[in-house]
Amino acid sequence: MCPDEETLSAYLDGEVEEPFKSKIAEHVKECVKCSAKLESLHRIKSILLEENDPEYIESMENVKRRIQISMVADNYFFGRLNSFWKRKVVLPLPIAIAAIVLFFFVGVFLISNIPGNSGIHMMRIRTEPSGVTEVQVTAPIEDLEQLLKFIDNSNFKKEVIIKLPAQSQFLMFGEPAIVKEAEFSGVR
Amino acid sequence: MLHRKKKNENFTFNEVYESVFPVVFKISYRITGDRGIAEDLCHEAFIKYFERRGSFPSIDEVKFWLIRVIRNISLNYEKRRARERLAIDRYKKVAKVEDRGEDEKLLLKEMEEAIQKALEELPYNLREVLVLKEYGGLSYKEIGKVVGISESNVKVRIFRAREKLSRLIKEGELYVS
Ligand SMILES: [Zn+2]
Repeated sequence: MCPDEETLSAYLDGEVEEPFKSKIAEHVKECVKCSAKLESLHRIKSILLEENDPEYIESMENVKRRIQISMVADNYFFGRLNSFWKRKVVLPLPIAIAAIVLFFFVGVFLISNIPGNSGIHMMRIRTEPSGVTEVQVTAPIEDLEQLLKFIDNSNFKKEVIIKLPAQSQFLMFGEPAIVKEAEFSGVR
Repeated sequence: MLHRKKKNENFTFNEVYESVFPVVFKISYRITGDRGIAEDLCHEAFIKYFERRGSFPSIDEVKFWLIRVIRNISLNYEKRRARERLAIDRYKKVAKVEDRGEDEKLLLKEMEEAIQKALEELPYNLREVLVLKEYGGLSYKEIGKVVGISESNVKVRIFRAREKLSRLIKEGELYVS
């Protein structure tokens, strides 16, 4: 007697115990119908298994970075900031979660790299007498990932300081806003 | 912090992350079909784990727990956006046939996409068990525990998922050629 098709499918997954397992193995050799069914189930299984895995390395890095950022914020709020982050993090009091101000010292060539509609805005560009250029940027919290991507892609490995603004409205709710809007308006 | 061991646990967050991320990501990706979304959901899942560190005896336990979490949040996400998604998919499918290239690589990629799409057309209750089986590598018993159904129910659902999937893929082939 033929096993039901669910059982054939389970057999394929190695989920059928002895003695039934051997019985099915025997039966499938003889029975055209069951061997055809098993074959077609097998095809579907292998199609799925042959699917290339999604490239996860990059995602793994992205998510890790985001977890680290979450923890920076977390730690800050609980007053237990540890220096586990590779980048230097300056967190003045009181904290505003609405926006982040980023200072980094870059060559001017970099500036054109800022993606147009990314939510990252140039606030101020200043060249120090020492020759370094300081670029001040704001980015909404939700764009942090993009901001970090931007920094990483900017083949610039000097000094990056991410600073949460020293004073600002404490916006727990509503849309992330750009801090000190007046200063950057028109300077994009 | 990521490298420090929590009391009661002889492994670090980082070790868990390195060993469990791939499978958690894969499950989420196969359920949602979207890399960006899968990243969001993995982020959420690992933060949840981070908050509960110290309550797991082994990495395996963490893995199992995380698979449950990712399954839940991925499915919830999917259900929320299901309706809007369907419409977009239909549109994409039509567009794709038109701009097909001859390149073999492209064809292969297309086939993969078609299979992922077919997977996404399975109803949730069938999709999740099949994903947990083939991409999560779980046994029927474990799947039963994750989903909250009996082992024999898992067996039935996996079979139905395979049947339905092979029908969808066949239809897809007819459609494409
Ligand atoms: Zn038979």
